[in-house]
Amino acid sequence: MLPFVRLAGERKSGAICASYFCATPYANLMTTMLLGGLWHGASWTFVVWGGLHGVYLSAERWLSGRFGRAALWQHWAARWALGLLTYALINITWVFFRAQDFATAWRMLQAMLGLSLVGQQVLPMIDLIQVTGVTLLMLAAHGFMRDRELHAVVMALPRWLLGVVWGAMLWLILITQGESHAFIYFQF
Amino acid sequence: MPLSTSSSEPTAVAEVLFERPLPLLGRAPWLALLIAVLLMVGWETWVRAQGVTPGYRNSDELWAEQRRRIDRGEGDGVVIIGSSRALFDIQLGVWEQLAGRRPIQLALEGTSPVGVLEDLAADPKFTGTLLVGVAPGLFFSGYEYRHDAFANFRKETPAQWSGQRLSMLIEPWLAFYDFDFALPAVLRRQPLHNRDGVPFRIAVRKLSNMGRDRNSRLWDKLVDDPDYQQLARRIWAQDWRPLAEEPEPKRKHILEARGKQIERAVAAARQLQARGVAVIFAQMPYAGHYAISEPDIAPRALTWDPLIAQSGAIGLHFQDHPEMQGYTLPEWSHMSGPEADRFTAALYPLIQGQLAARKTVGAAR
Repeated sequence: MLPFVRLAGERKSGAICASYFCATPYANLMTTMLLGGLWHGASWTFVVWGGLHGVYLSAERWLSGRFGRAALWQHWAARWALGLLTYALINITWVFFRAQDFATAWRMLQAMLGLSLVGQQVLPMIDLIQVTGVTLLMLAAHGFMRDRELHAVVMALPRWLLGVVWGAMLWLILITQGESHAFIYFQF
Repeated sequence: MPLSTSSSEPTAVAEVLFERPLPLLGRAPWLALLIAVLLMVGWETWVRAQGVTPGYRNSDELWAEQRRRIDRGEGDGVVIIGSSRALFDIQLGVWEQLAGRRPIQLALEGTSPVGVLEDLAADPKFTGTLLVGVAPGLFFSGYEYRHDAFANFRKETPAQWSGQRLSMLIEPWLAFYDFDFALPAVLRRQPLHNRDGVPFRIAVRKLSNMGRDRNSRLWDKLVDDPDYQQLARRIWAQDWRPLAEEPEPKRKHILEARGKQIERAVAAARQLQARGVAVIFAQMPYAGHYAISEPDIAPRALTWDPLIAQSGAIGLHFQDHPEMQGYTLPEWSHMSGPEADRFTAALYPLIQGQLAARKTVGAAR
């Protein structure tokens, strides 16, 4: 079970508060996310993954407490910009989640940020198309659903369209089939 | 409907009044089912139009099921291990006609059989006869594409076991349910222009049809369709270069692996023979690209010959026996179904002759 129980709350004096190091919501957020990182595996890369999440959540809490009421943030462009910023920052955390060590993570981050100019291009066109397509679709879906609830969207759709979409989704799941065993001969 | 967020702390109970009516879906679910069925029929028709017929999936679970036959008391029979040549070129039906008993087929494509050989050597329930297919480039390099199949078969979970039972109910009826026609595999082979310098290996395509007990026959398309045959040959030869031109780390790895593989195979074969198991190593025919690449990566004098000499097992190399020569290999590596029938019919008496000769020599001593 994920350790998201009772720590990262709204209370100003958390249950884990100890004397001068008072467990503010920030400490709670950090503790929860660090534990969340460790829950995924005993590696410092997971700790960084959790720690970054904790830092992001704490920063968001602090910033929204001070600047969150400004009318600017209700503008659609600002909301989209914040959404994309969140997406970019979260992408950095997943590098640490996936990498076996910090050297690999750093190499990956350099490539992501355009700092590595000597790397070999490895992704074939089909991977670029698939990843770009799926990413854009997910971002669009998240953007669309940000202020909506799924059941309300479902209720608003014409029934025939719902049936067609569900049918197509079911078909796509069925023909995807799972992992491939087509073998690669002679690769060492 | 009122919900409470916690039942363990009455003071913190928050009564939340929240109602979410069930959506009235009308006929949408039925329409979805109809659409999915229609699309599936279309997809299945498209797959079958390419000559695909339904068969069993060559899964780790199917292999595990055959491996368990030894645990269940069939360990005194003939077991075949090896790579794809042993899988496709030996036909269990023909063998059964000649021997009166069907062998257990445990060969794994793209995989050195040394790991399976060791597993069987350590299993006292196996007391029969072992036929080991030797594809030099795999056997002596230790490459194991299907490592998970034999490494994890004893760890199969109840969910995997029951999933396999369910899967086998539909596998013989649906042609699209094939690894080569999964959507990602189909997308990956679309002709797209890649950026210059991006390496792109063509994935190995469908080669065979597999039966309930893993008896496999080369797919007819490899015989009947010259384009598909050429594609298979191109896939086998892609990226190949002579061992001498390989980067030093890879060359060193391959050269070191040779010795280790021979050592492991010899130890396992000796262990098996010590408890009365007859072990036969067999090299099936290859041609074309493989006539160059196999001796290059595993020269006979440095690999096959020491293996047979040190293990004390029977060795059947196609170059030494006319019965194992003269078969058509559409894509240089495997025989068509009818050719595999003919090969099995020739191989069986050859093996029996070798086993009988060993017994005579043993009795004379």
